[in-house]
Amino acid sequence: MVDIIQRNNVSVTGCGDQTMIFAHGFGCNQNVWLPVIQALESDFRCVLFDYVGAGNSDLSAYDKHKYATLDGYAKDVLDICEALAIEAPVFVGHSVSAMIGVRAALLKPGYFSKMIFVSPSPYYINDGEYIGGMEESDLLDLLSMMDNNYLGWSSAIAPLVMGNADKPELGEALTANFCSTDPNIAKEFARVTFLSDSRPDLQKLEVPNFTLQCSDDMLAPLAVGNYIYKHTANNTLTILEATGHCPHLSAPQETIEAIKSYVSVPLMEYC
Amino acid sequence: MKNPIDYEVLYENAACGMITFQPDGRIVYANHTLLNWTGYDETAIKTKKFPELLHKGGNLYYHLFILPLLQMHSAVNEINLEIRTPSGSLPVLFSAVTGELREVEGKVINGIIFKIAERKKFEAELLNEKNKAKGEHENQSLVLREVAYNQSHLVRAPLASILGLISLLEENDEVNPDNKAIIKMLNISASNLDKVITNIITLSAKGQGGL
Repeated sequence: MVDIIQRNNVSVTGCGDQTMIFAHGFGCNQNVWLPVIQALESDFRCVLFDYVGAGNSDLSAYDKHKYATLDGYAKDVLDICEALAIEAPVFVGHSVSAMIGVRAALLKPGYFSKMIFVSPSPYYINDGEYIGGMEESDLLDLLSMMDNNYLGWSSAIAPLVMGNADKPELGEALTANFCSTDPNIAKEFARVTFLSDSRPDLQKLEVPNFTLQCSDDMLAPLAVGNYIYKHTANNTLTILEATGHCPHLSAPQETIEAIKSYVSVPLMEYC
Repeated sequence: MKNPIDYEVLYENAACGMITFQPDGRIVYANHTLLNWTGYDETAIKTKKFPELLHKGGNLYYHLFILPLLQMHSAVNEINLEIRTPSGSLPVLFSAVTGELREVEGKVINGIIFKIAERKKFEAELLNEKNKAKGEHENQSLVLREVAYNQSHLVRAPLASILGLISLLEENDEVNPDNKAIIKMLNISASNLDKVITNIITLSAKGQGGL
């Protein structure tokens, strides 16, 4: 049997009747949520994890075929929820994880109680009248940037980290840099992230959902937030003063307040 | 003894570019060295945001990796970037730490920039050689597999007739008992050889995408 908790390096913190599961975006790991979690763990049970390939996940569980689409990642989210027997979770996903959450919600209708999207985008590439913000050639540029920068990842250390839970100093070598990822896996995740077109999925989503849109985000421009608002049932859109792609890092307080206010509103008001 | 170093001169004309910008990217100041390298004047560079100095891919990379790293760890090291200049582009290594300034509210990012044009050429050479070697290696093993596949087929035909002849001998009752034992050993050896060759064929066929 696959140990899901180890595979996705799942950690649970805080307590409360409501469970929130936080999914990190492309490029980092679960630690990206720490500033937000610190303010939420007194009221909520918070579940954090790393996608397979990121952070301290089990790299040997990486399967090219499975993770060639967002579905593979969405199934892992559901696996984690099942392993922890979570009831009616609130899903919080950053960037690509917003759409992974949507996939998960479509795979298991009626399961999630609410979804919170932080800097989401259903499709990053410009397509006719749709403004995603990127051209496909920009993705190639990004991939070549990734080729030139391994950010502390080392093939000599990585294999030692897994299966050496009793030697945490090995893990520290990698987590010291939270963007460290196996470069080949990172490139495949980049392709799935930026080339997946989740626009059709949005129209099928029924779970009440909330977009936290930054006011100046080159990866998810304002037009994308508006697109999601127009094409998704039960969507609430908030435009943050925060700039950039990671409001949970650049403006944690504003992000925390937005998340808290949405989660505390009774479901009825959105139905 | 009084410290003889003039810090302003040291900063402005350092052997590396130095730049200070706000978390939203707005450039606060850049030293003379960086202005010289990039060809921007002081007023022009102050109207820009740091990621705008980069190509689109670099700009994306900045928002996906560099800025989150700065926010999480307050430092980044040895990031290879391309800086766009009015006349072309400049390959650099970028390191930065977050800090504070008297005149600017909140945190700022203090970066240093090393020009690595020569180093990049060397890296390109290495990469080129690596790819060439990889290509040659792949080509070589393809040729070897082909040879193995063809040769083992050639060997198989006479071996099949040897096996046939052995079984004819085995069926012959007039052979004396001493030779019978020899024929049996002959059969075993020939069968083993047949297995080895079948293996080579299977392996080389797999290597060629299942011929």
